Amino acid sequence: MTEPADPARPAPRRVRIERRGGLAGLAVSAEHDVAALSAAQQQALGRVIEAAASERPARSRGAPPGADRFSYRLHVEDAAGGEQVIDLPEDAMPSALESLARPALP
Amino acid sequence: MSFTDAAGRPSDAPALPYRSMCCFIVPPGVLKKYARDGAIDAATRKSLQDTYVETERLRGLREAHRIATLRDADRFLAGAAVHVPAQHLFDCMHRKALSGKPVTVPAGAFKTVFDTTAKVVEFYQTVLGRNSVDNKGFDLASSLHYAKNYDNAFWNGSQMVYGDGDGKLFGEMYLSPDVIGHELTHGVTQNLSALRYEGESGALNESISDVFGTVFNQWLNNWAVTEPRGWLVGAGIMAPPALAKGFTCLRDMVQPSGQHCLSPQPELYSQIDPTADVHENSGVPNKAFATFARAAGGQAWGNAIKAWYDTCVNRTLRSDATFSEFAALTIASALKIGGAALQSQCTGAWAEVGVAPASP
Repeated sequence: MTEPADPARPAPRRVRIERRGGLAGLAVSAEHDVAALSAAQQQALGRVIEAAASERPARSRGAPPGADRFSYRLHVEDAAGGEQVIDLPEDAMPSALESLARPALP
Repeated sequence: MSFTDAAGRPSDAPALPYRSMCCFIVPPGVLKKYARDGAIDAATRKSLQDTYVETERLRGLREAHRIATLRDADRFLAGAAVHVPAQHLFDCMHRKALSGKPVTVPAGAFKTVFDTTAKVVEFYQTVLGRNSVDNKGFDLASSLHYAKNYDNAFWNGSQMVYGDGDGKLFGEMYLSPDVIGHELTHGVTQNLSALRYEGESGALNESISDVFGTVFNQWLNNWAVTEPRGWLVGAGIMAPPALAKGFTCLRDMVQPSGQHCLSPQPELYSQIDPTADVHENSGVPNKAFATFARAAGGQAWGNAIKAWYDTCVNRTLRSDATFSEFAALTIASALKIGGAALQSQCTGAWAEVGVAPASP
């Protein structure tokens, strides 16, 4: 499991990743048990949660300039039943987590 | 080697005019509504009313600034020598760092992008009299092979970026000429109305890119408005597995909800979800344009696209425009470009998708 930087914060248990935007505008939503993620994915998720909790920009915040970029919303459920919602522009989404929300053919 | 600066702009490219931004989380209409709600205590209503007045004041200032910037640009242009836009190509080599490694001798995919981008520039110049995205000959940069299995193409505010697709839904994203026209048109919109990328204004921003991208593709192939292929968005980027399942395009401007569209869209204004992605709601103005151009007949790069372009360069097109406001401007442009008959066709097209033009 991902070790949260703040020991007082319950560890994440499940994460739902939603992707919007892109030239195609295909919406994607995928839910994962955090324990089933790879070590790299768990570490990336931990960093995103920590950055969001400390209100420290992961890399950039807010809508990026331009058009047709992806945007992500992470719903993180922790072991105590709490939920945290984190919005990330494409540039701030770790590559390790992007593959968790890929579109499939209908 | 060339890198982007902090704003994501290639360091060796001329700077785009940077617009001041002023965005409101709570729409002014909501503030106004609750400021008049008798169920809310007087002190809160007073606060809401004050906030509403302030947001309207700031919005007026923002529009005045935008228009002044455009006028200054025109004054500058009047005395300047014409700059012919150059192209810069980059290879991201499947990484995410922009712009990537410069490509000096384009071949293969790079030649395809170079040639098609040059054609988009020619389309804007010869059909619409526009010199590149800023009408001042802005040099165009394109980066290819962005990231791994990247199923997208985008405009990052100063350049175009293309992924190679995932091979299941999409192939190389530059293979549809309309996609290259679409991305470059985002640069045009950024330099004109700067339609805000959310809600109805965001859907209009997307629709304008689809409209000019598809009409560019029709012009390139010499297709009349009656050619169904001319109204498809992204027909050239669909991967074999997607084609095998019957998905022949991303979007179809004549039939936005069609089963052959990988991203089907609502066709009527009454069907849209205001919170939906801007690419979903763009189907309504897309269909309005296709209906208008098909009613006008002939080639869409005649009066139909000229009426739409006249609206895009209209200084009264606000960055937060609604479908209704945009419709009214296009109807006025149609009258100006093609007289009463074209105006009637434009009015009929908006009626067909259920958008009532705003009162002047």
